[in-house]
Amino acid sequence: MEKLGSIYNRFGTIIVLLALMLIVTIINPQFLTMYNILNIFKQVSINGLIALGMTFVILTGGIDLSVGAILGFSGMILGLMITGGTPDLLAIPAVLAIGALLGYFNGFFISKLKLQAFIVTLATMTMFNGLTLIVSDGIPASGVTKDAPVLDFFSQGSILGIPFPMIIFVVAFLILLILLQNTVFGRGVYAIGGNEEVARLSSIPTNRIKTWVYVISGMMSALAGVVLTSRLSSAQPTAGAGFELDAIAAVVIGGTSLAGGRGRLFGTFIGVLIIGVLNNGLNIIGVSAFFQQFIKGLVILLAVILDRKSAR
Amino acid sequence: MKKFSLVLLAVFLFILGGCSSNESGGEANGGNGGEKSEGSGKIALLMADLGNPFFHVLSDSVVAQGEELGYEVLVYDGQNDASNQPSQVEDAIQKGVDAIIINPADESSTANALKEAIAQDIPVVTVDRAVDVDGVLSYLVTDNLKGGKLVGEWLQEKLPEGGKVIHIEGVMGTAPQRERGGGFLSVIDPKENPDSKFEIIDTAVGDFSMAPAEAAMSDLLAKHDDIDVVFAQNDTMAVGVVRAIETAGRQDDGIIVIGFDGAQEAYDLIDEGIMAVTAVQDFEFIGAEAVNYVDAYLKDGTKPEPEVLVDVYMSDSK
Amino acid sequence: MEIRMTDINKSFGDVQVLKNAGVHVKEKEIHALMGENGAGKSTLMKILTGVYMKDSGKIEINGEVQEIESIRDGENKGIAFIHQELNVLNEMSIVDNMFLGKEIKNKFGLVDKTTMAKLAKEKLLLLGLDVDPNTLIKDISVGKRQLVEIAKALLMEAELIIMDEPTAALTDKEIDLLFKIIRDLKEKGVSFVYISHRMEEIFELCDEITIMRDGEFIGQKTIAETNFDEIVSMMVGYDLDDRFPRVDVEPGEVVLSVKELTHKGKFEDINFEVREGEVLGFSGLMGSGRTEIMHAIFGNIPFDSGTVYINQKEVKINSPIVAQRLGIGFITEDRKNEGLILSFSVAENTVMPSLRTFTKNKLIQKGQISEVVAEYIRKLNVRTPNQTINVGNLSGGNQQKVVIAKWLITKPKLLILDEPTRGVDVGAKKEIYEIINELKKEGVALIVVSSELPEVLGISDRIAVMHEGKLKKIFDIKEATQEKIMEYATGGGV
Repeated sequence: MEKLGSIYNRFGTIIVLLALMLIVTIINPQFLTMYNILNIFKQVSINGLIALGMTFVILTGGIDLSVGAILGFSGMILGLMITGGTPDLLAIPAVLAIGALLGYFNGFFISKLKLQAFIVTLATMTMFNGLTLIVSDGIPASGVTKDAPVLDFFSQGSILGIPFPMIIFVVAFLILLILLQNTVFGRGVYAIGGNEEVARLSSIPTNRIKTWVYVISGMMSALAGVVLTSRLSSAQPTAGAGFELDAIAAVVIGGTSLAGGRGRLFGTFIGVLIIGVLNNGLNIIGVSAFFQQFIKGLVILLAVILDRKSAR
Repeated sequence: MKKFSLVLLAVFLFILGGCSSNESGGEANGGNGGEKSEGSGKIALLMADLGNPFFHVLSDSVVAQGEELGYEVLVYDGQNDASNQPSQVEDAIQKGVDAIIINPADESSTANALKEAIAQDIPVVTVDRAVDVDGVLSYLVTDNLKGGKLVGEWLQEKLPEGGKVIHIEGVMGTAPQRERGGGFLSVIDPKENPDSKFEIIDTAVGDFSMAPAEAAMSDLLAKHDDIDVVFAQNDTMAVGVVRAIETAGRQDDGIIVIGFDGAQEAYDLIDEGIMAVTAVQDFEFIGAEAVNYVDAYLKDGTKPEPEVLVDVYMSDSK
Repeated sequence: MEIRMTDINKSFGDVQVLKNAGVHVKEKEIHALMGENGAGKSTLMKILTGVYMKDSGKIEINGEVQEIESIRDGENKGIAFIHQELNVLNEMSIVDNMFLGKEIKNKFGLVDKTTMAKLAKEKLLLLGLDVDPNTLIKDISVGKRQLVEIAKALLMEAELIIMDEPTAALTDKEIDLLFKIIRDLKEKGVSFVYISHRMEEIFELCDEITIMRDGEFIGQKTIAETNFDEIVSMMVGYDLDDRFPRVDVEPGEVVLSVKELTHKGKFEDINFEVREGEVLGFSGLMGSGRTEIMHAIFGNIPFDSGTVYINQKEVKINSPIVAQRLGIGFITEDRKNEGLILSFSVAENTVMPSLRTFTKNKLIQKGQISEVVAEYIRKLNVRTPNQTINVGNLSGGNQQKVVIAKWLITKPKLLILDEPTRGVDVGAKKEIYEIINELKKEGVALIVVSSELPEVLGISDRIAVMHEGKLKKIFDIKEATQEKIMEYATGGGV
């Protein structure tokens, strides 16, 4: 029994994912076509990038509610820059830098001024949303990818038949995985979530690490903003609203504790896929709109309950 | 740390000062404390969400018509949060406006605040959505039900032989979602109209915004090889639908995409020939008409109809 | 109330913490319960108060065999437990604390504040405490909080009050008052079980004493018939001399020197130095500023003025990161909140401060880590099934060895140990002393802060004595005695 528990502990979220895929496939085999699987990967890359950054934040015991707002703002800046004539090759790194900067802003208040992450990012979420409206005047930038081949490649391109957004997601996952598991910084992230005071007294630079996790989160959100803008070929002033919830859900489904210190990036990867398959599957099955939200919430709750059970 | 807080406070106040000075041109006469001042000619316009580009048509139209008739229009943005609007109403009353035109974020939040305005004999016109309060001068709204039907009839004419239809819904439970969808289905859905030759092959939720509509459409493109028509309940979603079709490389399938609202983005796509048509909410008319009602009432007490339904028209060019 | 506990057994998992333990408290008696940390005193008392259930054994109350099934049951039988970490909520008022969970309700089912305040006031006055019962707990002193707990016990008409280290955080004056109250209550028929490490208090206050060791009942003595040495040897199981294996090392260069270190309200004008191969003991009562000085040297809390020199060079240590870089290690007093992340593995905890040294091209070399951790597990004799078990699953002594290993890996030239043997069993204590001696031989400078006088006397070369934030005296070990140290620690001596 104990062995079964530990197997579940290792592979629990994967089991949930496979079960989910199996159910959807039984109801509608159309789900398991190569086309649809690639379609899912393209869609999850946006939530995926945000959730990867969010995992770092949550592992330190923090939370970043401003990810959707950062996505919206950076997407809008990207749209305005490109429609304003800036080459996309220049605009994309600029926007990533902006995302990092906004993240630094969060991190500064949280680590240096010791304010609660929830409140700070709740406030900055509203601020960044406001900034988006200010710079855009509430008007979307459309036709963004028309003369921007590099940006277009971010959603429409593929390498060896693999969609580029999927490649971005997987590569970002691998890089961040190494950062988290194999560097001093990454272990510090865990230690801060485990017990910040112990970490500090163990001469771990807690403030610097805490600031950096928000920078990572901000930058990943901006990258997600680039992918979304490319995907829609349009920068919407309200883009990203509510994205923080899907990202947090993916992290938690993946087994990361909201209290920090415990969790794995691979779990988040699977959590992202679970949410993606769920969204896609409900459409593929053709579940009534009224039931979709209920079922989605139910699956999230189930996944979390199973995860807590296995952690015992 | 204390020093830092002070610096922060100073920066904050500076920014605040900067922001308000940008607006000060519009409210030089602000501080006459709630007294109704004859002839100053001020109208408060409270928009639910200026983040939605389409509503700019409405607010621009109110401002333009207001200036035309010699009013100064104070524009408030509720930022799609119903809890912002009551205090904005109070603020407007405080500033002594002569009339309030409000596009409420929901049906109840501003009821108490507007009661106060009505008690002070400030005329209130609500646009696009009603508020549950007595004494409103008029309520101007797009006839969404009729609009939905109009879309259906247009489609029947376009495809007399029928076809396979996908229906992308807005935020579930909102009035426009119910009425536009209801009107459309009453004509197209064989369950409601036995004469219909169409088939609703799928329905998905796009929350009136682009990203979810695009994602849902991508899923449905993976599911269906044969789609004739997509009706999106607003243009923002229709743009997302078109994008999904392009991404899937199926722009040559001849899928007819129909939107609703008459937004600039939709016209652009119609011009390019990848979107078919949009059902136009005549916000320009609604905005101007709201100002006209207020003006007439202020001048000689003329009261318009308490509820005015404004027709939609189908348009494939601006 | 007369209580007789006999042949009490209790196991947690595989570990038997009580073996035929027992205690016999007579009516109108103050009964001391003594034993080393981990001897099972608290567990025995928790069984008596219904916190734990015994596995076997017998509890007699006034000659009648009784079962105590829950905390509430224990309270109803008239037994109150005042824990060392007081069980009061700081943000609530005195009266709310006293009636917590037992609020009096009026006929409308609402909390009857007036009656509650009246009753609370009554009991507080009985203890000579004239305060408004609506005062918040956080606004009264620790000593008074203790009295509030006693008042709470009186409120539920307790006939036996168990007190665990009640004087640990009290001033001398407060201790005197507490003792007077305890004696008064005894005259009124209340019995006490008094748990303390402070031998002097036991002799001053108590009538009988029960000694426990390793979960077993060792013996019961009448205070008048016993003496200090007898009790200690019953407690530890062997003579004091064996406990502190001493090595003599010729001290080398000065490693740390501190000049006029001051943090207003915590410590003032502190001057001392430590040399290579030397152990400087820090003695003094709790709250005398010892721990704060160590945190200041380690860069964890700022200080107002003064200078710190490492190897004769002035240094500015404004964070633990700088301290570590300068070769300082700090084993903190509070192992659970400052020393270890209990939910992390032994290996993860062990390499926390030294992780940077295990990298190649910025990447952590996991193989190297497990080698070094294994080496230190062996060296310090850490009893753990493997490196990957959560450190929270180890016993106190082994946890402490992990904390020590954590800092030894950084190869410090100065190691500060704050209460290194607190909550550690006798055997592990000796091992820790041996580690300290080993480091001394290697030429590490050591500071050991300890509240246990025998320990300070047993391992130090010199002893600094603190009193209310001031460093009163630095003794050479040859001239130091318990009496002299206590004299300075309590503000005497000139």
